[in-house]
Amino acid sequence: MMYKMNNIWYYFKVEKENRAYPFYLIDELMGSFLAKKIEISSVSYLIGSRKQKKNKYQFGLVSKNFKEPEFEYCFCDCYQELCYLNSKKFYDFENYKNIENLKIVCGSKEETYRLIQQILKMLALDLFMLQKDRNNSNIQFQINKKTQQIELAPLYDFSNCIPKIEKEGIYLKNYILRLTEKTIKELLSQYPMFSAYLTYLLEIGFTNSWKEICASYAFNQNSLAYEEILKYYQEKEESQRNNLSLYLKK
Amino acid sequence: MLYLKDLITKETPIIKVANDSSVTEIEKMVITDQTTLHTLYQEEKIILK
Repeated sequence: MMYKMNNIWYYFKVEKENRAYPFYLIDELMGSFLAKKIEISSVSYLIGSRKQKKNKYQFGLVSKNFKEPEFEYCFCDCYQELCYLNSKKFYDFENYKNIENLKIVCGSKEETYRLIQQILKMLALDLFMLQKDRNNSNIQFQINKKTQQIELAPLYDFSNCIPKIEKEGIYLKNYILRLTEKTIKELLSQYPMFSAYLTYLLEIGFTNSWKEICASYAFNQNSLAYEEILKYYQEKEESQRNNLSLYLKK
Repeated sequence: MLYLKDLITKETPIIKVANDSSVTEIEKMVITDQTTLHTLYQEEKIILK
């Protein structure tokens, strides 16, 4: 739900029961926190409350609209259409060359390098978080109206993260490059920085990040909710360290 | 399980949003589907998040 307050648009994501992703709002906070750690632009959240009937309150996350007037914005399908126009082939979501092909939308080597690094950071973060749904609506580019330089718009949406890699293997939707066992191996062999970003995220970990998040939001660390979330992230951290370190050693 | 309400303390910074008379709500929109959201975005009336 969007709100306009004091002439600024805000998005309010109300907390609701979510059986598939019970920690979806906490994962939003975690995604935003880790994005800042690896220096990729992301939306920031405040805790929001909305008064309901009978003096009851609904809580959720509030994020300020990231759109800046000096930029134009487009969704990821703009890039896919460009790839199609250039190659006349269907967009292959599991071709690691989709990363190199980002040069199609860039005007210089420096611009291409910056954009590729941003995409690699996003992919490393999604792999670490196990974000399953980086669909077209969840990836935007921003284009500077004066210079026409393109970069990744602030990252948002970590509400579809799974607790561990599924038995069937890794399959994380992403509209630039789907993350599977095949593409992860290719990314690691072709882009040393992808390996570096992933290694750094593993070092940071979920557990300490959760404690830092709690400190910054002044959350109650003597609550059952805190303990349950801590347990969730401790188990996820151990699982991710075991699984991803196998890829990083190869 | 809803977590936020159990985590919030008196020190947690909270922004009050719509349906609360203590804030000035200028406009409120309820968006129920992605198509509407996309259309509104393209018309530059709103942006995702």
